[in-house]
Amino acid sequence: MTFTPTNKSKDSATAFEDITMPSLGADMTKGTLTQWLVKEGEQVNSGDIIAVLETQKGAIDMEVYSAGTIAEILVQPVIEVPVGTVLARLALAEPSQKTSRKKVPKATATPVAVASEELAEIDDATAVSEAVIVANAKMTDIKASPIVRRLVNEQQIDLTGIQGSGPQGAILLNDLTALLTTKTATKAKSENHKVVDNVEENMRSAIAVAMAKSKQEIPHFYLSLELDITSAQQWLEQQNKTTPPEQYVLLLALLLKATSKALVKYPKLNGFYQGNAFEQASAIHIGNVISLRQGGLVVPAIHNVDQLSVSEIMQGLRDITARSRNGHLRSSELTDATITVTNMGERGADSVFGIIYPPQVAILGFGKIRAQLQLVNNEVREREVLTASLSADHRVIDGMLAAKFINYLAKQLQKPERL
Amino acid sequence: MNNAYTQQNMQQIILAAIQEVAPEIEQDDIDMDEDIREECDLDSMDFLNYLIALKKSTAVSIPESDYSQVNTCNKMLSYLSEKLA
Repeated sequence: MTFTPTNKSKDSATAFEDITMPSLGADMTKGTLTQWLVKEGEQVNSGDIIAVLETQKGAIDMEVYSAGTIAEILVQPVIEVPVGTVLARLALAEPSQKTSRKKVPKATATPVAVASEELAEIDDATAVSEAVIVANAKMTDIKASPIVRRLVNEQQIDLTGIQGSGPQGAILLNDLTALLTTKTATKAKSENHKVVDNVEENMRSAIAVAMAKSKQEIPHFYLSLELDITSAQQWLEQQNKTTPPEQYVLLLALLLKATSKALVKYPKLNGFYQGNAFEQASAIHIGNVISLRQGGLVVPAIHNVDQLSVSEIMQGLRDITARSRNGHLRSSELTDATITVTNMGERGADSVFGIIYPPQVAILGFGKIRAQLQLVNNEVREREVLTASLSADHRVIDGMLAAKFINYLAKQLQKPERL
Repeated sequence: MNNAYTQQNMQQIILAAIQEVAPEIEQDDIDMDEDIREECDLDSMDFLNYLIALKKSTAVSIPESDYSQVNTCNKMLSYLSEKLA
């Protein structure tokens, strides 16, 4: 999403930014706006939840990424629109904020290109999205908002003679109310119901697309190591014995902390491969695979794991698990993971070799805890172990680097009190 | 037992806490004498969130050392009743 910080028709000091239907992964092409949580004229801060979406990933709380005032709401719920469709416009509090926006993987590339065929140009003076630039080939003389363009395409509406109320007379959705018969509303509504009814099916096909793409494009290689977690388990037992449930720490929190430390040391596993090049991520956001009770999965990220304490990571895990269950994950959490962890242990598998979620370059799997007899200093001892397995993208990572990473991770777990 | 908590509404409090992590579960789905994690397919994260929900509604904090006393619905009922007596 880009914007041009100019608006000649209004206050020249005010910059606008488009709020678009976000892409929550390379596999998402459309989403349904089900509810606005803000009104025109309302002030918002970066990170505020402004709308509720229904997507292939379930119900999602949509965040705004800049501070400002909601200048115009262009699309009314309930409606399904392609990724990249402008939903509203934000008058920025500070034009310079765009540069401080965190970098997110460009998972939008493909869907936007698809969506843009349905979109056409919008008014020059308004914010211009990437999608719109691509779509300029379909420019016509009449100025209209993207949603209007789409409706025109879909329903063969004639815009001649309609007075637009948008910038430079652009025709907005509101201007079409007279024309848009109940047929449109009914259609949008029934489409939405279909989406809600078919969430499980949609999620299945979304997973299918992403995973097939990954296996076709990414040269995976795999390696595993048995982690001795005896000390970690003893430390946890001490910590948890009398603690109240909200301070209870699960092994997974320690594993994530150890993973983040290993990623700090070996940052080549943390980032994105796109446009034939690897781009190292500037922060460590670990995506966690969470199975949904009704089937399917979501992969929300815990942000800046390397900077969190073990108990903060645990709180983060509890929080995303609970919100995965009740449908309040945030859009950013589903888009900005820099690596993924899948913890199969509890469901009883010894090890799991995951499929990398593009454009990430690695996925780490943890298996179940097993008791084992081992020789330690020439004595037979009972140890607790689990298998960590790494799937890595060979375009970026070599076997030796992967082995060093996983060994360093194993070492971190030997001194759990220092994590 | 505290007058505020009858056996009946205590059972509803437990069900409400389960539904926080497993919204689709109904009273009829649960065998009160079976392991709650098996009955409702809760992983350890869900189980923790269940205990935290119970703490919010009853103010009873259940440490790990007591987990064996609360692993079925009926056991949880007696445990909470005792704590709230």
